[in-house]
Amino acid sequence: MQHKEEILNQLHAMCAKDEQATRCHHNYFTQEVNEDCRRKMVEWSFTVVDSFNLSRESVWRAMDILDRFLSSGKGSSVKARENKQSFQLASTVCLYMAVKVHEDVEMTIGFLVKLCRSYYTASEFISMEHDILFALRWSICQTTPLDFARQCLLLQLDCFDPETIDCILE
Amino acid sequence: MPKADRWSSDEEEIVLLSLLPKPISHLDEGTYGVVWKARDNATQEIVAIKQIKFDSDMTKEGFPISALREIGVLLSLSHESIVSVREMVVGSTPDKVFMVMDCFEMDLQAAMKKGPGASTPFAQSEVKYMMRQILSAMAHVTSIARKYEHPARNMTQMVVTLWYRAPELLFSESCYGPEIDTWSIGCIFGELLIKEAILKGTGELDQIQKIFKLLGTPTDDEYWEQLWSKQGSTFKWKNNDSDLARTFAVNSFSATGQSYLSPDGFDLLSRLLSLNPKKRITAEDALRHSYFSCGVTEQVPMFYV
Repeated sequence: MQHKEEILNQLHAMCAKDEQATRCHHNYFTQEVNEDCRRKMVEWSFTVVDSFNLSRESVWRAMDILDRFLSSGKGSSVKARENKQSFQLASTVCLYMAVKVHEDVEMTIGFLVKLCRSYYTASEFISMEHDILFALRWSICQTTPLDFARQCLLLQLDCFDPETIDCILE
Repeated sequence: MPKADRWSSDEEEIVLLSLLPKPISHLDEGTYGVVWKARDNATQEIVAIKQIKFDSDMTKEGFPISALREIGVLLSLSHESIVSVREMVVGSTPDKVFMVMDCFEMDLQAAMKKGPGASTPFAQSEVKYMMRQILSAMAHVTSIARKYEHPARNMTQMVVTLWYRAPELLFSESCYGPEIDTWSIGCIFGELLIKEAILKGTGELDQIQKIFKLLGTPTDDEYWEQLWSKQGSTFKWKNNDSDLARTFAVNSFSATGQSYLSPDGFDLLSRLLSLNPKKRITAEDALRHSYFSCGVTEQVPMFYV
């Protein structure tokens, strides 16, 4: 059981870290790549994590990486905002990266290629990953809104226990 | 030695100066390759840069997963007692990636061997100071890094240097939780008291024997009985009683080569070195232990000033 003071300290640490993080642009959409494209990729990502029993949180982490990448204006992010195929590639790689960092199971590049029915090649995936890492300067473990929500719920431990909180967040 | 090589990080330039005599952290030794001392030409500051080691994985599976996780975690930490990763810089080819970190003169092991009072034990106030730093850093890591906990793919056993490895890891338990870190901190506590590693095993089996010799064999312990029966262990361990109290003299000014240890300090030591990981004290609870609230006040160790 954690103490309130510690949870608050963690919240402070998370806020401080968030201040330093690469900002998300409030609206990076273009005519070609719009809200609808992002929504579709979120839905697709949920289908993937659900069918492989991965945590749904990985999707939020992936989207966090994607949003920051597309807001960065660096490297191929410019292209990914203008071109649907490139956007789709970037979002797939973001999911791959989130799984890589946070999940116990490995999602291999070969698997990604199959998942996309060879629409993209292994080297395209790898070079996109490289691009994202460079654009975000490797800061791919940022605090997500879900982390903040969890901390806030933890503060209400009198009302919820950690397991209930996990259920609420799911 | 690529002495004159420059590594760019946008506008700034990092110039490699020399190879640091020792990797900054011993846990990293061998895992990620060499650490260099370097100068940041933009700020003229001396920094440490660590080259990320790539193997053939790079081309097959993208950026190495272990390095990605380490960088991710380090970038998300912010604590006065934790070395901070300032930024990542890259060289001319994609396999040249460096972490730029604060540069420190020495690591703890070097500090024990050098410094003005190298031949005498630390004052208990100094030990307490360092223990608080270590524990509060660990508490921070535990709270922030909770989301990165994985029963990592059979890598866990290699994660911790043998001498600091928790007993359950030596029995191939594959759970990686904060308990294995508090065990290591217990080992460091003992080491700070006598300025020598307390469990210097020559191999995994010898390490286990040394642990049981110092702390006694876990008889009548639910956790160990379960673990051994789960593994169908045929080993019979010689029944030892704990040697901890004899190894670390409490309230003794005459114990040679050892820092003074209060009963509170001994209690904390034995809780950190609990053989049962479920009963091992957490870093957060350790900070609330009477060892820190009672007795002598903490003092910055001599090698700092």
